[in-house]
Amino acid sequence: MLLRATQRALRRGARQKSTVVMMRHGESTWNLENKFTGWYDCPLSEKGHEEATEAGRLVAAEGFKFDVAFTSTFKRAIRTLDHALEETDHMWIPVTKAWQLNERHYGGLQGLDKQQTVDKHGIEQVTVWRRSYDIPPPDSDKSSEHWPGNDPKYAKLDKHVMPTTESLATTAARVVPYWQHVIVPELIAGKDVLIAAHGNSLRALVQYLDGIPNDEITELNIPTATPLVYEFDDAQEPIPQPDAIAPLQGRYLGDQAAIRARIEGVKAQTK
Amino acid sequence: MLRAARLLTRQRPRKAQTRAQHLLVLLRHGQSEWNASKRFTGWVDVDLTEQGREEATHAGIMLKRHGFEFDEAHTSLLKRAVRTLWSALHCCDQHWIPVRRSWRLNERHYGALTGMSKQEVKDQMGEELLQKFRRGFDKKPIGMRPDHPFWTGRDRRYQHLGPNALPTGESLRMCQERVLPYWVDNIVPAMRRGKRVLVAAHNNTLRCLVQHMDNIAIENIRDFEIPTGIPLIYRLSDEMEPIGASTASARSRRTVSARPLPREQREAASMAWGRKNTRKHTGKPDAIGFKGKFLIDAHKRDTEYLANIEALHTFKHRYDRVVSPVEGLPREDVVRECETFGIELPKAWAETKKEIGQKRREAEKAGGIVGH
Repeated sequence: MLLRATQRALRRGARQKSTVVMMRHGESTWNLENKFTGWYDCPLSEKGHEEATEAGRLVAAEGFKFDVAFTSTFKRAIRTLDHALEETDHMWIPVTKAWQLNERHYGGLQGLDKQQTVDKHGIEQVTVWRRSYDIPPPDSDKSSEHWPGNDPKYAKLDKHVMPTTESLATTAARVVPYWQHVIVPELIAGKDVLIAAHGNSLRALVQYLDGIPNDEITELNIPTATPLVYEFDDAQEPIPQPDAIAPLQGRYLGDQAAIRARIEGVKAQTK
Repeated sequence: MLRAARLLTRQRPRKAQTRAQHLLVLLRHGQSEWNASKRFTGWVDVDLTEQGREEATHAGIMLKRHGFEFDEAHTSLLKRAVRTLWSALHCCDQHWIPVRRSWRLNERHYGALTGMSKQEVKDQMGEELLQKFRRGFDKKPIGMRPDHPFWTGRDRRYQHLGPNALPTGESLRMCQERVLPYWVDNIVPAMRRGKRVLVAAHNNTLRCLVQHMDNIAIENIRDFEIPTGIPLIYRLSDEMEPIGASTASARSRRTVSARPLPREQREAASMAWGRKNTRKHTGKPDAIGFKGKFLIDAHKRDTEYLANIEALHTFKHRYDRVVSPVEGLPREDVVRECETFGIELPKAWAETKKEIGQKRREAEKAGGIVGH
């Protein structure tokens, strides 16, 4: 009887699982200049464009079909998504640019050179700011260009929501509700979703999906412009993928050995 | 206390009535792969050629240079329009605005003619019938059947339409009948809420909108073509009527005065303003009542556009992806690169007015040369 119900459901076109492909944007110009980026809207570098196109090709090779896409309000993520949509021939799907998926705000450190900051404050303090779960960097000045309240992009939003600084905890406080209230209803409606976002916003999301504890998530690195595939069952629980690299349940697309090397390599970059 | 309140709220002399102006910019996509081979494209999803991409980038540069800002963008489901919109938005730094895509802004469906070149149609059906299909307002091309090589019924993006709404061939009137509901339900309410709207679409779709806004007669809209890649600016009143140069714009620039100017002086001021800005109009379309303004400086168009094209060839990776050539790039770099490659400095990078003025003053001091 259960089998017949399933058969009837399948004939009706009910979905059994939905797919979410998320990717971090490619290398940006401020990555090259080794500056803290945060909410600054810098563009992709040449290599970033190539990485994004390559990521799009990997997704296209898997044959996924998307119905809706989400990204942040920064041109590096939007451009990454543009390349992905172009390569997968999905330039026609609706795209939502949500500030809730923005990168973590780096407070007063935004715009500063990473090496100079380490020299000034010491490696331990900078590591605490970068890698702690709930200790944010110092506040940015509300009169500076780095406070989003001064940015015309967010003029229509409540200024009290605009962060002066963020930790991974506060990032999760805006990313996870957006996932729950906006993206999950799309999955329930049977749509497949493509997300192009940033390192910390994806970390927050992946922590929620896979139940990763706080100390592990700060050490987890998601390589740039590498598609990460999650599949969800009817109850919107992630289905563990066969090639998943722990502690994630989703799988990366591409050369697995190279990806593992990149994950380990980025860990070494914090020095 | 009541008297005090009445004093505070007394009728002040009215400021010059400014009609609410809503900004609408229409942009036709550039040359597509099938434009170049002169085939009827319709709903087939061909991409832009190199020239088409350059036109899109140039449109973005023009919008940025003239300081246009947008709150919303609308486009069709076809790649060529979406790519035009992307280029234009990235060039004028508005990549973050919400974009809505709709099948209703798609190009007119050419039915069975889709994929045929104009020469083939002329050979098979005769010149007269070809002109009727292309230009007749009510003439519908032969319907596309499911065995057509470019049958759109299989495409996933139109699945939500269902079999009855999916067009198999459209006359211009049918195209208008499906564009106007989108205009009424989405674009007009956005403008009324104060949003500045950019629409990147196709020739026939934009012609339908232009005809609706400007109330152009059917005989005249037939031959009217919107140039590719040049932003078409409309400022609309609350009733969605285009505001011409000689009416509200002149009025809005008028300073507050206790006594209004006499009628003749007002009219003279409007005419002078209109004449001063006439170079932004293309001459011919006015004959049919077209009220949009193309964003070109007519007498400068050829040299600047060509200079931009050359610069685009060389600095393509920058212009397409970073910022406009006028702001954001250091001038020394551009000057150096032009010298290296031996091309003339694009006019957009020419000396600032201050430098020109200084040079002229020095020249006058040196040799008594006066004038340009």
